[in-house]
Amino acid sequence: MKLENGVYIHIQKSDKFKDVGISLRFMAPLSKETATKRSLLAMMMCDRCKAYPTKKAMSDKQDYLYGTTLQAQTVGYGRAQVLEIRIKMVDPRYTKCTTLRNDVLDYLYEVIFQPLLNEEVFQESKSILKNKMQRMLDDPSQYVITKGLHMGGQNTPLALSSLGELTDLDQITLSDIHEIYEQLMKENRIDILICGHVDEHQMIDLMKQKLPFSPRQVDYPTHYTFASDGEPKKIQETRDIKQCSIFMLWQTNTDICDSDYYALRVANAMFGQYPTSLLFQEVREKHSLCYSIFANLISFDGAMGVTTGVEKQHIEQAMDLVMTQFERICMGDFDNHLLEVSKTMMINSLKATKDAMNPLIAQIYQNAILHRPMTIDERINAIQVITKEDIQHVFHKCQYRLGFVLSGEENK
Amino acid sequence: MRKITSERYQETYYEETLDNGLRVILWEKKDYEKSLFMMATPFGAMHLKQRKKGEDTIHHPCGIAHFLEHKMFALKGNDVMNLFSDMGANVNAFTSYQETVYYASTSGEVEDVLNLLLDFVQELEIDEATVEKEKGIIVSELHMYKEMSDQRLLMETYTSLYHNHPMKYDIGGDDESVLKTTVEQLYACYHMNYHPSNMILICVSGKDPEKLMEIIKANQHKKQFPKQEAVEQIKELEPKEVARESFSFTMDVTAPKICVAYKLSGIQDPYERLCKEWCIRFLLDANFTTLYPNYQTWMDDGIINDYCGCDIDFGEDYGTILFFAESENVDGFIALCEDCMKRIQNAEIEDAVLEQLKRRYYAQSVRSLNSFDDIAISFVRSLFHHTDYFTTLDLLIDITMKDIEQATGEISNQHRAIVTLLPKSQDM
Repeated sequence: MKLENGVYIHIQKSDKFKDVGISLRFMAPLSKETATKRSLLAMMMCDRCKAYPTKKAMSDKQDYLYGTTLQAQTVGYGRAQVLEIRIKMVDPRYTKCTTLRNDVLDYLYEVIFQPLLNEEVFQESKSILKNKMQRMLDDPSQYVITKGLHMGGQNTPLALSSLGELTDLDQITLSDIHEIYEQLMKENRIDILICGHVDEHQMIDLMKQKLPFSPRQVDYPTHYTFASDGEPKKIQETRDIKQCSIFMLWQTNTDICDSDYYALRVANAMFGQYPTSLLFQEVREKHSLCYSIFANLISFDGAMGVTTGVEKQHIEQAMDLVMTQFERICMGDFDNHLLEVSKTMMINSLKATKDAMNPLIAQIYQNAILHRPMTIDERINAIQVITKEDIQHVFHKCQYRLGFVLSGEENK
Repeated sequence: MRKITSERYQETYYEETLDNGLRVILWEKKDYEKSLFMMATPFGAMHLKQRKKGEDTIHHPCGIAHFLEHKMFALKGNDVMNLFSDMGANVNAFTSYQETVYYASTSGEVEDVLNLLLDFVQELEIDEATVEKEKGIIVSELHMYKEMSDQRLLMETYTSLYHNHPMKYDIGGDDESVLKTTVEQLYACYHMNYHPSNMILICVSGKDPEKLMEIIKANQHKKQFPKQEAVEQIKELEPKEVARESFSFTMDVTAPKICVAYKLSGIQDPYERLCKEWCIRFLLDANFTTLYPNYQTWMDDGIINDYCGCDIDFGEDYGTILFFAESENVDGFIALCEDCMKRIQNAEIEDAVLEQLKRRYYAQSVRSLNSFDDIAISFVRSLFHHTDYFTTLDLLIDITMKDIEQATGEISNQHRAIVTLLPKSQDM
């Protein structure tokens, strides 16, 4: 439902949960100029605000609101970057506090409309974000993914991390943050997603009253399929580690809104999503080369990645095996059983979406930004009809783009 | 079946102990699509010496509980994971110092899934070849954890704290202990610890509890188990002092990480243990998180950043308080921890802070009941410790200043170990 131009509200009423969740999502284009600034702003906004100007004041307030939690993060959706502020409170029926819901919304107003964007919070958040990025780069398995996407997705949004870039962080000034905040409040598409034991009409009225966002003109593109030229890249880096990390990247040439997208989902599941998958069975079970191996879709960018960790002497063998499994799916060299099992797994996990708040909210948001109200049952149907030919066809369209290996140093 | 309902948390479960000794808990989650089935034995990485009544003490190699967990996943020549996948279900397991846990979940039909969980946990099928093959996978898993700096810091901390207590070993053991583990040792370990009378089955499900109980009973009636004598855990004598007061190691990371650990004694009585754990947790929150007024100064001075925390853990025969951080100022951080310990010993916490923390954690307990995994695992632990689950959830509501003052007695005689992880480049 539309609250204002460019401001939407979605309410999922449910009596199952012990808490009530409210997720505010601010969408803007994902660009190198703004990604890091928005990531920093997200941190600053949930650290302090004018009414609660210290960390202690924030903690005290949240405890007073029965351990209400406040989180902020930035997430990539293809060409767009979403800054999410999420607040969760215990369902008021488990407390003696009759004003809890209104108190939480008043607090949310302070956080969003009266942030404390001063030099002190800026400097501190900057150094915390720097550490956070550095820690991610320190972790070999995360490093290969970030760096792999960066190199494989050159000149496309895929190359940009929604967390931001270490190299961009130093140049950011406080006035940049003010500017980005103004854009957030005036130009971003806003979706308010609410889930829990709430009265729909009451909630809509309350939101209009407590979070008075101005109307805005927005139409940001999200999904696309990334493409890169030339031969597949092969990149090798070394570091003082025992176990090697591998990341392999494909461009799928299938858009999330294409009719064969669900075929790609099933194909990816057969390739490397579950323990039944070819990757898990061949690389881990048959050859004992790794402990974990996964294939993942980055659906809004039309990308697919495989990650695993192996001993140094097994790098070539492992990568060859991954390629062989990919070819097998293209050639239809798999039994019907694998297809059916993968479908059942996917269908069951879709059903389970109804049981957990975060996936439920994610689902509603995806429908909203893709402008298609696809129910869980419709998704299940879309999966059920996929055939072996569909699978082969959709994997045939995939092109291998990059292999990134981080291994131990030669002389150690 | 006995029905237990909590008005406060609006939750209901049923319990019954079967003829073969298996304790069954059926937790009702109406309107949910999903079901979670969990089977657990109170046998974990710290139980390395055991004795059956009237028999010799058995010494298990370290990491055997975890090794066994890996090898449970075969049934009549099939890979159990594949069997679950065929049903559209997920299965997983974990080993902690205290227990080994197997769990399966599905949003589809439950009968086959529940039967399969019971069947694979109640049968061990191994031979020389399959055990040998598993060793490579386990060693690779251990290496993976060793590459993770947080994991490694924690492992080294336990190694610093203990002379003899099995927590000085990694849960999975080490390369050597894994490579020398034998088929016979695995069988011996299995027979001692996987008898139904040792184990718990908990189902958290939207399905009818009567139906679930029928499935479980039908499954168990088909099986015969030999009579089992009680198994006794033999504990190591552990000095109060730490094994290494100071230890440092290097990894390829950017900033140093430090863990300051205080070794405490264990607490026998489970309710007393939980109560004191809450009291010390409240004190830690009041004195070493954003609730402490100087916390901001520590950040401004660059002694800590966002990677900073503390933890309290009591068992029957161990107790630890851990402080950890990423910091360039290692000495500064140690000084903060020492000051904090002094304040905790003096039971420094304001009434208002105590009340707000009780609000926070009460709501957290309520919200934990959203999670099937949280319900199942905390219920299992509560049963293994012979406590009533809802009573343990309520415990924190009634904590007073007097309890807090009493709890500080536990830390009057602590011993400290410091472990630092330094970036590789610094020592070259």
